[in-house]
Amino acid sequence: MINKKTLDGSFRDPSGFVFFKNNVLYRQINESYADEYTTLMKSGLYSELVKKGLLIPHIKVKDTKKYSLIRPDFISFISYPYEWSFSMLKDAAIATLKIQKTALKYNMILKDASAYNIQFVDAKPILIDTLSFEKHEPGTPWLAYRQFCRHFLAPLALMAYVNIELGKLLKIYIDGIPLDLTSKLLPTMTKLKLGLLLHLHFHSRNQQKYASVSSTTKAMISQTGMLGLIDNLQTTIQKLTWPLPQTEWGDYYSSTNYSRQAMTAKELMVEKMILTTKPKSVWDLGANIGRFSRLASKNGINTLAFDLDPAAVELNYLECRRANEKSLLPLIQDLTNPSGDIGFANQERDALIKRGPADTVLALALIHHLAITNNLPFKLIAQFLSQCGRCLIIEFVPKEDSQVKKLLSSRKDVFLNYFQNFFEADFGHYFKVEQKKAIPETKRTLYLMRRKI
Amino acid sequence: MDNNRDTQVSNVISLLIKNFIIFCLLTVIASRPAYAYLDPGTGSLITQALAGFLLAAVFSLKLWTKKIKQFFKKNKTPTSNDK
Repeated sequence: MINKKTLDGSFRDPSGFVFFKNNVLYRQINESYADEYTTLMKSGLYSELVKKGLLIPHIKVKDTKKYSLIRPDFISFISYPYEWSFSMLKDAAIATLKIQKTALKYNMILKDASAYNIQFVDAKPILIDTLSFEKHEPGTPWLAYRQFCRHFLAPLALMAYVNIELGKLLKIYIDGIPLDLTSKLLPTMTKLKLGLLLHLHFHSRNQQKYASVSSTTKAMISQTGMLGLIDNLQTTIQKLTWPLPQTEWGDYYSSTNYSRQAMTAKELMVEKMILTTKPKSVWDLGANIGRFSRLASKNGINTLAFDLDPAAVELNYLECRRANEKSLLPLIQDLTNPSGDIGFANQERDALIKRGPADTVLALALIHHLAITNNLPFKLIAQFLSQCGRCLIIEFVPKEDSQVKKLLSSRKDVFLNYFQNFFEADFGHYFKVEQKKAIPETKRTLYLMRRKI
Repeated sequence: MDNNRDTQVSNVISLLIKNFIIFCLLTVIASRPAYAYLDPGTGSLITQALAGFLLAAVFSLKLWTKKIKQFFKKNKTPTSNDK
């Protein structure tokens, strides 16, 4: 049976669209884009970008007069800019500018500069939209300049100069953070930085000033001016830094109540359980800096390490980048408010659970934070986790545990059902317990469960 | 008192720098024709044209500095080898 499903999020571009057919992803190239596509392929630009690891490789599978079909390399999980850490967004921005510089060498240009066109493969940013290029006539401006500033420069500047949490504004503003808002939120001293002054403050002022003016004059920019613009954007972004603070979880592993032996024992148990489930994909929920995620990724399993703390995700990503790690992708995710369906008709960017399920989910040292800190009933947690993955490796942390005692020290214990028997009964609605093991030297228990439905 | 005076002096200096930058930008703006579209990206195109004008100079200067540095580096290398 032929199952053709147009992928949401690719409906804005008239050059083509992406769809699934018999579970294989294809990109259709419409007749209107045929000429540009030929230039991309024949000029040598495609080969250079693929060689540099900046553009997704593809093979052509069909060529007719009306349209062509290409099959790009498959990306197992699509992540969004509001789920990336500071350095991930920064690396994605730099990659976009490198692509732009390379394209200009071949008299082509990026016709869009959307952060959603970048994905992370083996912890490296890569452009996934093969149809992002068009021929460039020297002297004409870069039409995606504003989009680049809104998608990359504005959130990075806000995160660096105001607050790291402002990266989340990308969830509200799906086409990047408005420049007038950015300019208002940034401290006045950023006007002393040439790049930020030009691309954000001056840019925002001009947008407002010329919003209702009409003219037919064409803005011109010399080729040196264009290279200068790209170079300045790159320098400006490279100079933006976020000094890592010691956040709540930043030093989690050093402040844990585990002894070294107990930690090693837990690691061995978790790895064994992961391998028992023979997963192709693992989601580690509440992954912190990814110590347990690496038990899966080091075995070549595609692993996502989710945490709500941007500092933990940042540290995890920097480690992936430093060690050139494969198969691991750290992402920001607040499990009490996971990424939802957003964009036009709520169909442009998918909710977290729509991008699953994973074969195996890790929920280690997590249950007490969901159940006690966030007052979530076991049954709802179990339901959510059953939507996330087919197998579940979960650690139960009882009230006698020092970490739970700490959580309860400042509040009234209203959690009358927070006991192992209730936990097992409520999770039993959705999962079948396959293994149950006490973690040595602790009061905690590790479970391997399989989804019932 | 001294602290207040220092703050006042630094405020005046930052104001002067700011005004100087604004003056430079205005000079650039005044020397270029006004472009405009109905398109909401009008301001962006104008910014790009003006920024491009300014950054072309910055970029050229950067390239020349790099070339000069490379020239001196090349000249230095044989000297150190001679030793």
